[in-house]
Amino acid sequence: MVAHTARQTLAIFWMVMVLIVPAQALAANATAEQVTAAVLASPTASAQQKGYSGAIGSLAMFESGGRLDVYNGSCCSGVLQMNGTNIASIRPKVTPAVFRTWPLQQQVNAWASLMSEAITYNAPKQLAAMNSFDGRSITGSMVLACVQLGAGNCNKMITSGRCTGFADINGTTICKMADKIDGTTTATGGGGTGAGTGIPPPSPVTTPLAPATAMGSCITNGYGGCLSITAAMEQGFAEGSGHSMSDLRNVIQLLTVGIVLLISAWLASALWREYTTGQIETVELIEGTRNVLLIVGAIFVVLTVV
Amino acid sequence: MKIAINMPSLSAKWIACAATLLVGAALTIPAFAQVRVTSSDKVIFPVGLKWERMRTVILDPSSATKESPMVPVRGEDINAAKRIWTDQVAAAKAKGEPADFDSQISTASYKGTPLAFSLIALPMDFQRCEQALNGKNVVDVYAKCLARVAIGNMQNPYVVEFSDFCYADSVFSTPEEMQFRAKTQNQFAFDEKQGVAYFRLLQHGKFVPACNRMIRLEGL
Repeated sequence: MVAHTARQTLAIFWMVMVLIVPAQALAANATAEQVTAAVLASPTASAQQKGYSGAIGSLAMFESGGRLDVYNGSCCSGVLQMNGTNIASIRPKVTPAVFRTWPLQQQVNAWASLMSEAITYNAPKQLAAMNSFDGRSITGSMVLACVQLGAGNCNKMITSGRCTGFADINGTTICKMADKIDGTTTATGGGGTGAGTGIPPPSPVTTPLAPATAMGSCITNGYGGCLSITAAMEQGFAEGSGHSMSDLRNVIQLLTVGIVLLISAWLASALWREYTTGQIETVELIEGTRNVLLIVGAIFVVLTVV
Repeated sequence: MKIAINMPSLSAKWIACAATLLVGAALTIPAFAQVRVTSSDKVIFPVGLKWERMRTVILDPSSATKESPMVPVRGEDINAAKRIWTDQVAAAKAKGEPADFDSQISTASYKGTPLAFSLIALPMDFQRCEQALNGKNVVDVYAKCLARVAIGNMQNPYVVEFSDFCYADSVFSTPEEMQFRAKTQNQFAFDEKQGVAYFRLLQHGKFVPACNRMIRLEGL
């Protein structure tokens, strides 16, 4: 009887796992085109932002891969990865957890409301007014990257006159981020800025950029740096899903452990109930307990190895 | 001829005149104007400081929602913060917007004078504040915005403002937010002997050296 119950339970367990995985895969996603449409339809987006709507769609793909419910594990949530501190400025007030459940239009409205102000101040405004910077044309993506990475940091870059004037902890400069948004690489270092001089900007060299390009024996990260196959897979997975592989593995393992413990507790209580009501003998109780422990042990061994 | 001078009468006139001048001066010169208040980010925290979490203030508690209950806020802190940030509250009202800025406060006393130190987050002010960054690669949750020191009676304090103070707080009391609040908080300590207030930021359970600040009061 216990063995029968255990078989049933295992079947239920695998059914649950089979249901959980596709649910993760089907989590709320938006395409770049949908984000662009949401910006154009947003009542809080400025005319300038609507002009950049295509670039904002690409920015959303860069930031979240289109995932609405994604959290980067430290600060930022949603399709455009808004910082929790900025989410706190949304009225009526909303927690980041609730923000992540919002539909695309609502998330875009909130982001646009904050960024429409940001884009009109100092550094982004100054950058938008330039014809070129460090030998490259100023694009919507570059202005967006300037806003997204912070006006103060953007100002550092402008003051230095070089794209390398500011880089985040991952070495991403505003120019590199703009390239990532556009899916291109642009040569820099043409020299200085062309702020409203009327001189035609130097022609940028634009080449299509694949996320991970095989180049001889080296897989590059898009900036020319070599990556190991594992690192490339990790990066590709993170770009696509918004989660690191190890994070996802931990979540799945934790879920499995939780479910296994729950099922074991349920089986043990059923066994005990049957024993106390006299339906099974002590020997059967011991045998049943051993079976439960064997199942739990086997699953934990599999988890440890995997 | 000897002129007798009525000394007591003259003294009384001089005293009355001086008193009038003093009262006039007291009315025209702001109280505590002689106090020198300076701030620095070059900080070495002395040992033995008693650190406390700065208290959350919601200037407009009506913005709370039932779904996301707010953390407890003291009434006297709201009143003090409203005094300290009275111009911001007035500016919001002038625009027809709710004055629901998030703010934090800590109070102290120096040589018998009450002091209040308050931080504010002004998310739409890109001139005076550096907003928190957005993006998947971002780690920091804090913005950099204004700090004000209120000296004296909180009904009519002498206020001095500083910029570039880190701000990170959550006003919600959901389980997720309480976890965040435990690991991320603005902290304050006051050295009563030296008249120096110290500020630091705990973020994700670690202190952020770039957010260490001090405010020194002299002349009280």
